[in-house]
Amino acid sequence: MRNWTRRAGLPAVAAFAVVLSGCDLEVLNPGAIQDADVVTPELMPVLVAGASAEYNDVQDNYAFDIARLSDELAGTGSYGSTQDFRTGFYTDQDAEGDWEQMHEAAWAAGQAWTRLQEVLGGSESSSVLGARLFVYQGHAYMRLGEAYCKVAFDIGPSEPRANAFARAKASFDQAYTIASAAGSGADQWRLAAKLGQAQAEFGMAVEGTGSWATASAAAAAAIAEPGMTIDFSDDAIYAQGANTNLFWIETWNRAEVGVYRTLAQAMYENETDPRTKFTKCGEWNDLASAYPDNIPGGVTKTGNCDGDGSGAHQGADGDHAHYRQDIYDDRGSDIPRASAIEMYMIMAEAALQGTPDYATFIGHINTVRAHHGLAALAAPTAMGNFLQWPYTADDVTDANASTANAILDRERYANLWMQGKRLYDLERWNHPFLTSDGWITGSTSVADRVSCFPMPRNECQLNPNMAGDPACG
Amino acid sequence: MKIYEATQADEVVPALIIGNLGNADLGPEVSTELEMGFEASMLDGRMSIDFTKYDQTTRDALIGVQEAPSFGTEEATLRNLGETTNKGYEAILNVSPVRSDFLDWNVNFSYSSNESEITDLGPLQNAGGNLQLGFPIGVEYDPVVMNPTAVGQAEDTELAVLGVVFPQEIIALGTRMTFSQALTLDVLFESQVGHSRTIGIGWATARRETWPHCFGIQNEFNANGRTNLTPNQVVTCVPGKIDWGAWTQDADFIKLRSASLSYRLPDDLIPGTRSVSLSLQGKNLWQTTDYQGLDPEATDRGLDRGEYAFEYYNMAPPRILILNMQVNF
Repeated sequence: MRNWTRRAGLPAVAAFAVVLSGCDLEVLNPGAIQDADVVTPELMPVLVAGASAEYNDVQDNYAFDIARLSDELAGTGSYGSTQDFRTGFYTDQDAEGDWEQMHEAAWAAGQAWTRLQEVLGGSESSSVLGARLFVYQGHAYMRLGEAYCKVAFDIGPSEPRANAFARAKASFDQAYTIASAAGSGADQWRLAAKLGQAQAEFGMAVEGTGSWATASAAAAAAIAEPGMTIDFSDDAIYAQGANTNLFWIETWNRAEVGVYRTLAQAMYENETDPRTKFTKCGEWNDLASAYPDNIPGGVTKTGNCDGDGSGAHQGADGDHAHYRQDIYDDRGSDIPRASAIEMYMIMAEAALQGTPDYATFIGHINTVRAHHGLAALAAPTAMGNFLQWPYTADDVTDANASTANAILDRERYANLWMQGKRLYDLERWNHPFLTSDGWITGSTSVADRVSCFPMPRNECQLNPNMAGDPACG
Repeated sequence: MKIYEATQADEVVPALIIGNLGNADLGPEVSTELEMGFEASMLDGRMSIDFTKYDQTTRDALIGVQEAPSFGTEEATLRNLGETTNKGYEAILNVSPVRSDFLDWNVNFSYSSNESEITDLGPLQNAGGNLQLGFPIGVEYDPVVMNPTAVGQAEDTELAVLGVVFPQEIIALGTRMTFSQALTLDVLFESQVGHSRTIGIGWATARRETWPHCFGIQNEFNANGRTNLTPNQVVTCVPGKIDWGAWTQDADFIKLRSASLSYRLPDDLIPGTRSVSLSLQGKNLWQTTDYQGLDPEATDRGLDRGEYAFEYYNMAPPRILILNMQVNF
């Protein structure tokens, strides 16, 4: 009897405790969920959240790739990709990940929309859920157009990237229609759709299938949209527990990339520009050389950073001082897909097309600068050149970078820093950075840096309509 | 059947994403196999032979097919569209040349071959890079330099199968000699041929300009460009031009898998014990191979998924020495 009590007592107490706690021992992780079970209106928000997750999952990777390929961030770590990207080298295999995931984000939104139509019985056309899906889809198309030299859809042949912008425009149009019908509960998405429309018009203007006048008008319409404020942005969302911002991981948790020798460094050091804020976690001991390749004096801690990743004061390669970006200063920092500030940049650039309207141009620029507490710039009197690489602090001051193109280059850079927009800007401006040699280590780069992503190798291999397509080399 | 997977989105809200599209027309694989062989023992059991030949054909094979990414999903979908063949031999020969109180000597020899081939993929030429029509299951498919030795020329590359994951032949030879029922020497050699590996560590390290074998080529390229270099040298060692395929090498090898020497002490040597034996065993003591990576058997992620095998985040199999003393009371 005593033995029985000893053996059975503990399980009995545990079972009683479970009963008292109200726990019903239900298995909460359902594992794979069958399609036939995702047919109730209550599950539609969860399905739309999945489409959001698909987009969020790629936005930071995409923008991080572009930051490393452009002059937004300098690779100071040990990743093989970082080593290649900082020299401007980017292969058809490197291009696979962003391509796959952006297509999947657009596709997932379309699949979810089909399910909404089946389940909601017509009310999806005035549902915030529908508006959200088309915003996600529109941005997935936008990113494909901005980054890839050629695009392809639905296992078809290659197409001009302008077609991606046209698809994005159609998605944003639908998002706007649905959000408007949905009423005040969808205000955020109505504004997001409006920003997206202008972004798409901007892309089509650049590619010659639209016009700068239309793009500028769309941006102005976005600014004028009821409820829009200058600090509004439509963001890809990151969070502590769901999906961590990759920029934070690689600059705060690690020291894989930094701001050293970027335009951001020069701008922040010149006028403490809050848009390019960074912190010097380490500092060169030997500054005799402007760009000390071999760092004869090494790097010392500044005491400004307390990160413990793989060495907060120097890059993960052990060679370089770590200059840490401070825009995405939390693992849950969100990344803008589109913003009201970007609208001002579109309007400013549009004002320089044809016969330049310098007053209108600088008016838009200064509106944004004022928002950030920065001094107004004088109107330029000439188009001038884009900034010359390598950037020096003196070259990018307000006084010295005073022509229209230099101002546009600098202001668009700062306002859209690390949002995945810079590579497209460099390409369409034929920016000196693309053809200038040199980077932090080794001072070598490929003859012409990549200015857009090539057609991914797996698309070329798996798409029968790509056989012999020039986009596949 | 299309299935969803649970995940989290945005500010940690529940979310569903499509896990797999499914295939409502999916059916079973149908395999037929012809296997024949024999076992023979002769000379009072001093020689035995075991021989097997097999020839298997699988129709309606389940092949995970990845659509082109522009379709929308990255997930491969199973389809009954393949035919694969798998055939080979297995032979084992055991011989006992000497059986006496002084010496008991056994020799073991085994040989196996395996030849697989994807003979049909329906309308497809491949089902992802590792599954290519007309080739064994699991290959490395990447650009290969067509003008490897043309000094000064730019590399001309074409996609091709560069290697096979699984060894096509495995040969083992072992012997055991026991002297006076006390001292035993046991040795096993093994050779695997017909497969390859990619040296991912070399590939990555060369890109970082820290692979010593590439220093000379990199210095030459920095000084004179490709003028004095072959395309093969460029795609192997010059950062920005290095190709994964250039680091794929034949991984044939001969290894001394194990060797052991054991000695059983006389029964009454240590009072109070029934028996005492000492042994020294070594594993992976020696190998010969032309493969330049860590080890021709090292892989980053194993071989069970039909993917191509390569070195990257892995260690080489260690060399092991074991000294053992066994006492029975």
